[in-house]
Amino acid sequence: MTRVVTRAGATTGRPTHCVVTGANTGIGLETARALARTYDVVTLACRDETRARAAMATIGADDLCDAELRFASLDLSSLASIEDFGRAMRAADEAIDAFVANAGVMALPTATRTRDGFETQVGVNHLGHYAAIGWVFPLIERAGRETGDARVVVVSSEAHRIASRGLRRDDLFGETRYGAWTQYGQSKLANVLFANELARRCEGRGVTVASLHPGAVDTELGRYLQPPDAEVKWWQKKLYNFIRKFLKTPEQGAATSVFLARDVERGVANGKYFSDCREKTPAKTCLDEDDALWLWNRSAELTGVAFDLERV
Amino acid sequence: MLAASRDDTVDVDAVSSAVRSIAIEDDEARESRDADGGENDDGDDDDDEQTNADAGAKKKKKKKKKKKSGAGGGVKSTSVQYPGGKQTAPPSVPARELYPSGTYPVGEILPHHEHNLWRETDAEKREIERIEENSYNEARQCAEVHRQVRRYISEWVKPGMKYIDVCETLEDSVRKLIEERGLEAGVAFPTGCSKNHVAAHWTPNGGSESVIDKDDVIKFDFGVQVKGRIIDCAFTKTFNDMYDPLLKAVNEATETGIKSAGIDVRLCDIGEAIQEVMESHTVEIHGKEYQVKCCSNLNGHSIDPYRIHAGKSVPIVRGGVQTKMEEGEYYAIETFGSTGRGYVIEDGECSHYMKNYDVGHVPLRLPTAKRLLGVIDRNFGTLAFCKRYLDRIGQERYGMALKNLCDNGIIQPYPPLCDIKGSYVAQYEHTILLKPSSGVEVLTRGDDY
Repeated sequence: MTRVVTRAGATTGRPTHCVVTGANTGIGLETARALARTYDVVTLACRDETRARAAMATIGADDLCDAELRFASLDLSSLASIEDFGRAMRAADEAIDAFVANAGVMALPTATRTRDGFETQVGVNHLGHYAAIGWVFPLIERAGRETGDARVVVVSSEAHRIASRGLRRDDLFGETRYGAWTQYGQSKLANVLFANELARRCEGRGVTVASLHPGAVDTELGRYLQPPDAEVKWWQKKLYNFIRKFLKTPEQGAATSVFLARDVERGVANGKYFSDCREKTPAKTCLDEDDALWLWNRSAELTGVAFDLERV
Repeated sequence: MLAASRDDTVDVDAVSSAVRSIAIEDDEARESRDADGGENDDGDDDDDEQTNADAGAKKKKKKKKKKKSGAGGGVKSTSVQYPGGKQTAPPSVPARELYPSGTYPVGEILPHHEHNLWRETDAEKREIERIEENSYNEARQCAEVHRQVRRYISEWVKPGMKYIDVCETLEDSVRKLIEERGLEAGVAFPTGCSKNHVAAHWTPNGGSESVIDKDDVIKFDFGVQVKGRIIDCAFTKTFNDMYDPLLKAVNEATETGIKSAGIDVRLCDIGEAIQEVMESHTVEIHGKEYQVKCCSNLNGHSIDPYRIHAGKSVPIVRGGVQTKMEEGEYYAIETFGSTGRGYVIEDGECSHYMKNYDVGHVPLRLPTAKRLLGVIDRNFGTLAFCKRYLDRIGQERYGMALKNLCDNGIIQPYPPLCDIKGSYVAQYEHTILLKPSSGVEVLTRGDDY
């Protein structure tokens, strides 16, 4: 007896295509590198073209990766840039088999705002991805129709547990009292809520949506932890070198994203939260369907991007 | 020669080489028949020393030879001398009686890849292997049964026979040779005899009137199990030498897969190697040229006790997962070459079913479904079965109950897998074992493929 395993694109004969946001460094780079081994086209959606090109050169030098690498300009802190990205992708008119929402910022010390007036962490981590996925969703849905196996992977974090009181509906952007980690927690909670809501709406459309915790990974995400102008003290360096020993490498951090974007059997992961390539129960706050629905509608209002998906 | 190997049961290699030399001898005889026009029949009973020596060199030649003679050959080669006597035609003497020592021939051993050569001398690994020797022997018994049955079937089957008769003869032979006893030993899964554009999972249901045509490309895929140790092995049978290049391509691809397999080898690398070999072939069928394509969604698989499709899949195209093969695993390495589009879809009347391995207790409302599930649990457990097997054990009017079990996710149907109509798909498959110390054992290796 033989075993049948159908991989994305296998039944259509077209090249398989995946998009990774924030793919120029850290987990995103490793995710893109791993996916470039299986997907035929990998689009790196990044803010900074030079850094993205450098990343593409790194991936291209890996002789196991023979995917076609593409750059797409995408600044998640600007709705205009997201719209440009969306229009460009729609114009190219290629189905997207996997979308990895990986980009993120963490623990900005002071409240900053994106160009559209959103608080940066929630604005980039959640609203940016909401809008970007919204723009390209017809392409994802098409892949789902063709192969029954399109995937949306939302990189969240265990930090969503910081938001233990749930989503702050009245103060999503932390305007009354800003806390660097509070807002990060909110943004990551929003990631899971969004993934779950999208998963519910994608039921039966051949699109699988999952969120995940990559682990504590040694990447640039910690870039705001140290005030840029402050001098790095010698003991800070020592301490950091010590902590590093307990952090995952970016390759390890990318494992769960890659697992969800490629290896897990289709449909299994829909609406679930993963950590270390295993399903994990997220905080209770993530399972609140009212919050999810509210966030969905609020995100649509704020970004002006709407999915053509009815809640089933 | 055979007496010697019987006495020396500790040295398993001696047995294996002895048995392999039977094959070689037989081939030798065939070769000389070809060369001398039948003058020199059975002439070289005594020079197995020499044939052993250049067994390796003969391998390649042998394979090609077989295919040519296989197409038109009679059934005379079934009269091979085994340590305990001869096999009948059709096969009916249990393998246990043919090997009175209880030690079955070892398959072909491929040495480890370079980075694993340390295993050959490592005391711990050698010890692990010695401890496992008994279970290896059970697998070898299954493999021997497979070899003997397929030897008969591939020479006996002719156009004009009914598929159902061929399958039943084949299954009866397997049952006799392995001495079927419930779940402990018997047929491991339904006999696949998918033809032409159907790649796999087709076997006639009861009352089928399908007849073998002279232009059919038939994939005989059948399995034998002892104590859950499943041997899964397949070959392609044709009656028209027009298909020989296609068969050659697929056989080469399978051999490539086997050669690339090994402990710590990444599954994706095997798929890539297979695809490269398979797609380097072009074939001409009915005057039209085709590039052979791998059926990209068909996979080899690891085999666990009573579980034909265990955790890992061995792809036959590039782009697989990077999971590695591990020590002690059994794998079915199978490749499919097609003249069609190179991927299969489920189509046609379903015959194969199997209980889901992971399913726990599911409450059932329908009493007939409950009863049928009991029957399946007792007779097949988690082994695959087909409707004919249910008929055989006296089940009647089980259609509704079976559907109910499928709807509840307890039983998984495995419908036929088809490429596009008018295409031809060929398959070769071996079961291999990644031994901790001595290398990769191709359990089902025979003189035919």
